[in-house]
Amino acid sequence: MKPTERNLLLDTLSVCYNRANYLKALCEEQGLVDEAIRFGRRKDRLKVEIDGLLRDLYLDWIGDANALKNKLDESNKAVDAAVKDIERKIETAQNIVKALGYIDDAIKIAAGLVL
Amino acid sequence: MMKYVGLLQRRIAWVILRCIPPVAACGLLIGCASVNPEPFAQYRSAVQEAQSGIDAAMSVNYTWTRSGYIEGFSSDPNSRFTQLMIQPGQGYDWLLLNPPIYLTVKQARSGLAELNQAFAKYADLLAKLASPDLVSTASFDQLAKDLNQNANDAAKALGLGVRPEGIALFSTAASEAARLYIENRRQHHLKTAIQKNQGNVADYSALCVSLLHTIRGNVKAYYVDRTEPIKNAWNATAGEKRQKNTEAMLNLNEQYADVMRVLQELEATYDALPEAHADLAKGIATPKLDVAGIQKLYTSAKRLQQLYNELKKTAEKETKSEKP
Repeated sequence: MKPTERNLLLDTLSVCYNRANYLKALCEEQGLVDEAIRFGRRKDRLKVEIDGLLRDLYLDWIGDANALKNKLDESNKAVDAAVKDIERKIETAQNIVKALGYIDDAIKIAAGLVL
Repeated sequence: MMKYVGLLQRRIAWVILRCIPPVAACGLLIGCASVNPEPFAQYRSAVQEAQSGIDAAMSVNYTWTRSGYIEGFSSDPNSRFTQLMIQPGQGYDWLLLNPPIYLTVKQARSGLAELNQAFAKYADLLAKLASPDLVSTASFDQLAKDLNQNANDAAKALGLGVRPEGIALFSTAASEAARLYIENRRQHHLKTAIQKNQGNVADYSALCVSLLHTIRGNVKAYYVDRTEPIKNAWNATAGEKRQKNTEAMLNLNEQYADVMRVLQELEATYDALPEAHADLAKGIATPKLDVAGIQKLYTSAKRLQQLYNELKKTAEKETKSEKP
């Protein structure tokens, strides 16, 4: 069964569980003891099914989420490297300007000596 | 001496051009506008709101499931105390036979937090890569200024008699070319990241929507269990004494309605994530483009923020009304 189908089933079971509970309460209010007990039993059976389905859905989801998290972590490394690439390139441009400054200093010294 | 100076000048020009080889090689960068960071910031903000919203819904879900278990277990005549006892194993291991469902909800909440963290990091990195702080015009203006200063000093020392405007033009052109080159690299990285992660974003969106549906079913079922003790207490009292239980039931209903509204809005937000993500790439190519997908996502996320704040308030109210 596909996850979406299971979620549809969960939704339907939850609605049935609510209705069984409502009918049980209604029977209790009207003094229909036997009917209330019957709805109570149906309600309990539905609860077991719901909890089992919820457990399966959550556990499957945890597995899928973990796999996607690992993929995202890998992908984030690549994007992080891209940010660092840009930062490095800006740094390189700044270093070149600094290096040119040193060359200019050397020119000034050389000019002072020769001229 | 003049021959030596000429040699040095050529060397300086060569070093600057080495810094920006693709610019020298092609004229593709002319007119390469900066990335508009706004859609990226909006995308990141919407992701944060969606994550806060789903965590708020998950928190209510966990509390309800745990309380529902306690109420159900306590009222069941077949319950045995030993069923609540943990059996410690080797090292850090432990076991609880027939673990209650709320523990699985807790486990899923941890998984969600980790997944959200990874996705938030992705949205952060995209925003950082698109940020004006990363490739700032100011830092390139400073580069041009420094280049000007260096070249002017050298020309003055050598007594070359070169006009400052001539040097300034060359320096500005060099630093602008470097900026365009880096800007082009940045846009290439952004497009690659968006293209490569489109599938991951679609998976993330689908996974979160699937979890929302599970939470919806969970909350619907455990609403019933939460009504049970209130109903019993209400039936056991009469007159004014019923007020407290009537109020407790109204608070529970309010919280249920708030959770459903948050879940519904969350579904709209998560559904909008993949389209908005694809729109980020369109926005790089055309910075002034009105990216409808991102606007839709952002508006939904803002509505969501208001809704989950209301949910938090009603959850607090419910906790207070439960206290004796």
